[in-house]
Amino acid sequence: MLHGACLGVRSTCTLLHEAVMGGQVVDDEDMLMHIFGFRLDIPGAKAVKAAQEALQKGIDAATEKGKEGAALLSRLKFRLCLLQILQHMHPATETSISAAANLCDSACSLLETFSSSVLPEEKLAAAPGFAPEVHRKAMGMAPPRTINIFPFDKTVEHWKITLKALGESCRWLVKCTCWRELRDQLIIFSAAPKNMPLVRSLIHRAIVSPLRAAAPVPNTSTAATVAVPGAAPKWAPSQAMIAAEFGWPCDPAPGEEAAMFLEQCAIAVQGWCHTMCLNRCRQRRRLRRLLEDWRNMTDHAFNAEASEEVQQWFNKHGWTWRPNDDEGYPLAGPVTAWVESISSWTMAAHLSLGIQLDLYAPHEFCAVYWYCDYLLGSGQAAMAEMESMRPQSAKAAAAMGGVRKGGKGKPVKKPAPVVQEGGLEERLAANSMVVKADRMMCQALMRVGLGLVWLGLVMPPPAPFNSERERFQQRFKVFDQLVRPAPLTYDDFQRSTAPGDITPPRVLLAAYEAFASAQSTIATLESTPMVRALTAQQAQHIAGVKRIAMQNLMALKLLISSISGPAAVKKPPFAVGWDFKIALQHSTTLFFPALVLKSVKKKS
Amino acid sequence: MDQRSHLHYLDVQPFLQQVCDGMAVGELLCGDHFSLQDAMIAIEIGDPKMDVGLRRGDPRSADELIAAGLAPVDLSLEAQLAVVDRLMSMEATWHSGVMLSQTVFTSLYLLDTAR
Repeated sequence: MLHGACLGVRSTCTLLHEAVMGGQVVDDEDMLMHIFGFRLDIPGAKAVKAAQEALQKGIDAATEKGKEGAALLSRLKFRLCLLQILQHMHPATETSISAAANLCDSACSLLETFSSSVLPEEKLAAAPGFAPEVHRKAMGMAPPRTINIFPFDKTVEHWKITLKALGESCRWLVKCTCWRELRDQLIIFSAAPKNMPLVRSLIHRAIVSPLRAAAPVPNTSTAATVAVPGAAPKWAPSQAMIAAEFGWPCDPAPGEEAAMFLEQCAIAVQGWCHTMCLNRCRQRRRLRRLLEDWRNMTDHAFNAEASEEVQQWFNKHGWTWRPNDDEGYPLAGPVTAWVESISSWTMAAHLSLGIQLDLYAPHEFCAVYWYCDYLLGSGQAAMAEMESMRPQSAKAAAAMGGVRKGGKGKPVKKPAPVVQEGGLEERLAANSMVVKADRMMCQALMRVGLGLVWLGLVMPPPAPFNSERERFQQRFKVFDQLVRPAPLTYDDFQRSTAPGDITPPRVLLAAYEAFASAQSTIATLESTPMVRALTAQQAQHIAGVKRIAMQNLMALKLLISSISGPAAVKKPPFAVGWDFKIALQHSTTLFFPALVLKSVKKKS
Repeated sequence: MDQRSHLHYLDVQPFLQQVCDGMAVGELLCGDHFSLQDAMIAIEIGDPKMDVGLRRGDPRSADELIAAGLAPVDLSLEAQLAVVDRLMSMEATWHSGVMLSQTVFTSLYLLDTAR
């Protein structure tokens, strides 16, 4: 039985090592993959098969005499299940990933049977055959550090969390059929509170490896990665997935420029998927680097829209888009709008991750939320623009249905399809309400930040070497490379936040009104049928936003009453704090703080 | 031709011991150009955290350890369970960021599964 267990562990490590190297989303701070030259296992599936046979032999020979026998049996079964999961994860097909999800549930059930070890920790620590320094010579001239081996109950907990997350991820992956679904799920996946390098590697490999497998043989006429119909699963971010966003055929695309756009966009989207599978710190940096790709995509989109073939295609299929204005200048179309919406999201995500990673000082919140508000608005406007250009005829035909002749020559009206198009509209409307609430929160927090600085409750630290303009540019300079959405400058910020005749009580009152507006938007959303179109993550986010808005309203009421009215003071006797706990528990992309006021006793 | 034939090694231990015996606590013997930076980056010979050449634990290889009987084949069920559970803990430790060579592959059973 020990032989089977050892082969099982060795094969599991081999498969996980391959998965992590193939997934390409894990870095040294996540997991160390260096093996100092010794071979994990004989490459290929033979070793895994041998391990599975040995495990099965051990299971068949096992007796359940005593606690130890039963415990060993459950461990062997768990190891066999684990090997099956890893085999099903690659190569990834819809069937294999669904099977992997079910096997994860089975593995979790097996883990329940040995949630605590039969043996005490002291006996485990004294288990025979372990030599901690046996590879010291192979490891080179590196000072050793103390290794703390997981206790057994923590080990079981670790596997439960990992397998549960993997099973859930496999389930949503199989359900993704279009770009929006893949994007929404990856956004939630990327915000997982625990850093799970194994799950991230397995999922990323499952997303992109089918595309590598479907890539054409070199030395063919085209170098583009054309997804052969039926070869890649529905969730794979292929050219076909991008083309479906505009209703284009993929092979061949409508024109050379469209083909170039699809080819480059598939690379950019695959890069985006890769970024979403990195750890949070690397994600932020990578999102910044991705902006260059999306900058180029704006150019490709523009070129595609300027081509005659694409214009004719859009015209023929009922898209309402004028390629040129009255003076003959080109106007942005649906493709550019689509690229702009992704660019806006990427920029907002990059900014927002800085909040989660605690990179901003409180006096910077005003500028950060001001920019976030702009990006949310740009992204929403771009998507609305694209949807408005979409052909209405397809929606109308689906709603009314066709007419066919029934018995005795009488025409029979075909029943209208159930809710398909209505579902999309409902989802878009619900998304729009969520974005509106988020924008209200951004505007409110911008005003709060401004008011607190004017009142002297939040003081920027002394910065003798950089002016405020330079610090603003350092923070937002990375956005200057983009054309759409147009980058904002320090002068824009100054204009938006210049006090003029506005007093601190007035700006705090405006913040109060914005928080109240966010609350009422959420209340409206929750009272309409649109609320059922929200994803679970969106519902959780607006629940958090509601709580934060309520807390901030109360804090602002206290603040405003202290600086207005007969007993007004110039500087309120409060120390200001920012609490992100609720936001971090509820949200995945945008994080809004709750304002915390602590009374400051006057020195006598 | 043996290239090391011109090298002669002297044992300076007695000399160093004599010098140390003549020094008081807090005294430092150093060259003219020894600076504070040198003091900060200096390693202490024999300190296990700094001295990479220090021999730690058992210097024997896996084969030598197995030959010495540290990984017996005939194990009771309890011992087998202890090994399996310990391997599982080692594996989870690897997932958390420790190297394979310091966790899973410290098991002599895993290094020679053919036994």
